[in-house]
Amino acid sequence: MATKAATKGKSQSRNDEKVFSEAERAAVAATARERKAAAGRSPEEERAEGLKDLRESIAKMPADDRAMAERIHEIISTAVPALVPKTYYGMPAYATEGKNGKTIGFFKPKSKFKVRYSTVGFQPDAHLDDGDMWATEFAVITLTPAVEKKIADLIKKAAG
Amino acid sequence: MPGLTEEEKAAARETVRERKRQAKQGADREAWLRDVLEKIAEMPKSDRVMAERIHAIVLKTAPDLVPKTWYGMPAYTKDGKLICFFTAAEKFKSRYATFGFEQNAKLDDGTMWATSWALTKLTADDEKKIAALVKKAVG
Repeated sequence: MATKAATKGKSQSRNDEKVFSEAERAAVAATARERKAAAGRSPEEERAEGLKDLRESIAKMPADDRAMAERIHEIISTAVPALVPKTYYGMPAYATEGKNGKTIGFFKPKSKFKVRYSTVGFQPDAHLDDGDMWATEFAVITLTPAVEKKIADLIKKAAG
Repeated sequence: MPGLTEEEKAAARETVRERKRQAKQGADREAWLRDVLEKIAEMPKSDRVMAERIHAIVLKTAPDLVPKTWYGMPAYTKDGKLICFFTAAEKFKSRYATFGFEQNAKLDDGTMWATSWALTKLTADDEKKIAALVKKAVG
């Protein structure tokens, strides 16, 4: 098996490049970079670098996604200031504090995979549990005051 | 690709195989269904029981949906477009399984609506909720 993998290695990865879309490959490459960069940072560096990555990620978005991402960043940072900003697969995301901080929520702009809506999503370390079935990802078309409040409530509960 | 977990690498390899296989199969619904049933059969028991039940609910509620694997997960398509999918808890070692919808699902409700649900078990109430969601999604 090992020998086979070693001899096939190069042509296999070329083949894989054809199978995956550019957006998929970019997301995977971003994740690999994020994890490598995160290794060995102090909590202060983690927060500062994470915020920088997040701002860069937002700056690259098309105008409508960018406006939504900026506003959601304000809402989340205000609702739960302790959360650590970062990127996750290249998307703005928020993690719990500490050495083994876990990503609990993220914003996926609609431009990322060219879909008709952006999403606010939560990860298994978010505490949104409600019985045995609860929503973990939400499509967001526009940020009305009601939607903004809902997002703030969700992130508070998630981080609680 | 360095920096990825074993589960992610396995998922990527599987997706490569899946896309190549589906390209060869063309629009062979029988083959796609076989692949979905095979994926479900490979799951650990708790995921498998849930996946089987959800598979039955989805197809009973929307018989026109065509089962097809997507990133190695049981998924359901309409006119070639992905509507919903089931992620086993085991797939990314999560504490819950997920039933999710993609953009072609018509779950729209105002300017914000849920598209994905965590499932720790499947009660009769949950089954009703899932059926209602699938019905709305393809409506």
